[in-house]
Amino acid sequence: MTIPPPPAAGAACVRNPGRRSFACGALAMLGGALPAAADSLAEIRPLSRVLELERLRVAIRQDSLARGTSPAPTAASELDLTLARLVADGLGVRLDLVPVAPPDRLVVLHQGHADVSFAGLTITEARVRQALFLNPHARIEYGVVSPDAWPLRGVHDLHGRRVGVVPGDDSMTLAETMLPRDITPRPYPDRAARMAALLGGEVDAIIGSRPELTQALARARATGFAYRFTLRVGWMAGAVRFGQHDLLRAINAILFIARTRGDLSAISEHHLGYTLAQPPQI
Amino acid sequence: MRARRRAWLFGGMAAAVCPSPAIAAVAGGTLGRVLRDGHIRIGVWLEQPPWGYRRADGTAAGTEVDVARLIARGLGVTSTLVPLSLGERTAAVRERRVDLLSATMVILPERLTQLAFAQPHACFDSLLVFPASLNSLGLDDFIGRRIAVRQNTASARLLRARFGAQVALIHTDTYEESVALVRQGSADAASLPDLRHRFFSLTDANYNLTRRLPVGRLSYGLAMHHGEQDLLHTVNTLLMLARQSGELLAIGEREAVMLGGCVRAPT
Repeated sequence: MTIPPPPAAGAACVRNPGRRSFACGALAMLGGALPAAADSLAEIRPLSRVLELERLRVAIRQDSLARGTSPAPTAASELDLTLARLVADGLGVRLDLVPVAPPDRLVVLHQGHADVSFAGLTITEARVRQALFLNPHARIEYGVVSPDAWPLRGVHDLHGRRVGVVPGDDSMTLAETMLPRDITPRPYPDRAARMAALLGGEVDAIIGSRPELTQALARARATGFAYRFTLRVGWMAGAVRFGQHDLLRAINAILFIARTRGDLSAISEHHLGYTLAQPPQI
Repeated sequence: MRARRRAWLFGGMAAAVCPSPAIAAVAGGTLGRVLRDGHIRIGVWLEQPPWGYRRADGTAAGTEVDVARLIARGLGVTSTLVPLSLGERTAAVRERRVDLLSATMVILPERLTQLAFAQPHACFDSLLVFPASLNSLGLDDFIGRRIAVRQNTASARLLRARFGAQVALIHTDTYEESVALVRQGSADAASLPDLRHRFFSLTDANYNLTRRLPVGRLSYGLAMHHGEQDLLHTVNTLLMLARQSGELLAIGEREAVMLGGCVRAPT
């Protein structure tokens, strides 16, 4: 299959429900005026309304759209962007992207600012209480990166060490639930700051997802660091608002077709560097 | 009143992290209420070890009980386990006395009109067991013979579907009674779940029903009221997470039963 390219900056920018997005404003300036699709009304749209309006509003991590800026988009974010296009194409509607900060990834659904969220979400128990998840479309590993001078073998080696995380991100949740209690995670405002802290020796290790961490190390041309071990395997999936079962089923059907044709695996290989064998189904 | 007292006795306190009201209000139906109240009522059947039973101290245990607690924890709510008898499980859901059933409910076509089932989380093989002296090679050899089977069970329905009136079914109240009838020569074979056959083999030195034939595989599913789509999807998502993390498998291993590896139900 052909992996669809990410949308142009101007076409991507929509609105920022959480008032945290710099990407949106920057992209509007760079890419021109907001598209007509960027209606500002909050509305809960069932599938019939989406088809009637011929527009699907998809929440996407704001850093997915920050092409050429810092922090750079992660592979997972770019994958989500591809998925958003695939789903909109499958429904035969125009894609309106809604850039969101991590804490707002499900809030936008409740507020009626987006119909579906493909914003770097992995399925967790806490999130299951907040939205309906689509069938998974990618597999992500969360683990630890440290300097070669300190080759970690497992969680027990982290005792007494400084570990960098990003609050509101999965790295913080993992640090709180899986690390020894004598470790106080050091919070950083974003992934770039977390990586800078590792490279600068402020922390002994950082937690994040693979291949995001390894790609960030490669971009920074940082040598002497490596991904050490996996804390948890996560399944990335989109989400819709509670009650939106028609929309859920329609998108799951599109994902089913993509999975059986091998498209999901190709998308995973293109963005993450590995194929997707058989994702679990809900 | 008695049921209420029993419910108190078995009140399981899951680790509770109540969601914010703003978020809980988004879910509809029973799930919305459960998240808002921070509490779920789950029906269990405690007369079917190892799936559900009472420990010596009276507390509820078994794989279905553990799965019930897993769901409550996943929802971030406390739970009350409501002990139900075999015959009142479906009624308890339909009369809204419980929000969810984790009570070895076999997914059967005739039940689908009354209950909505989550994806199967457990399965077992229904067996015909008989002494080595009986020269039978296949199920068709039992045509015209007598089979002892516990009444009102999915295995009894399975036998009726397989043989119709070609066999004489002798209905019993317990598996022990079914086995006793074969020993006495009043029945040619007994219908047992695979686990019960294994249990008798390991614990009863006089158990002589050493030969077995599988009649069919049956699946257990968590059940709820029809129309609870948010709850159904959320339960299925939590089961998927538990399957992927190995937690469902671990629950099964504690009681040596098969969890998580069943065939998916069509959606």
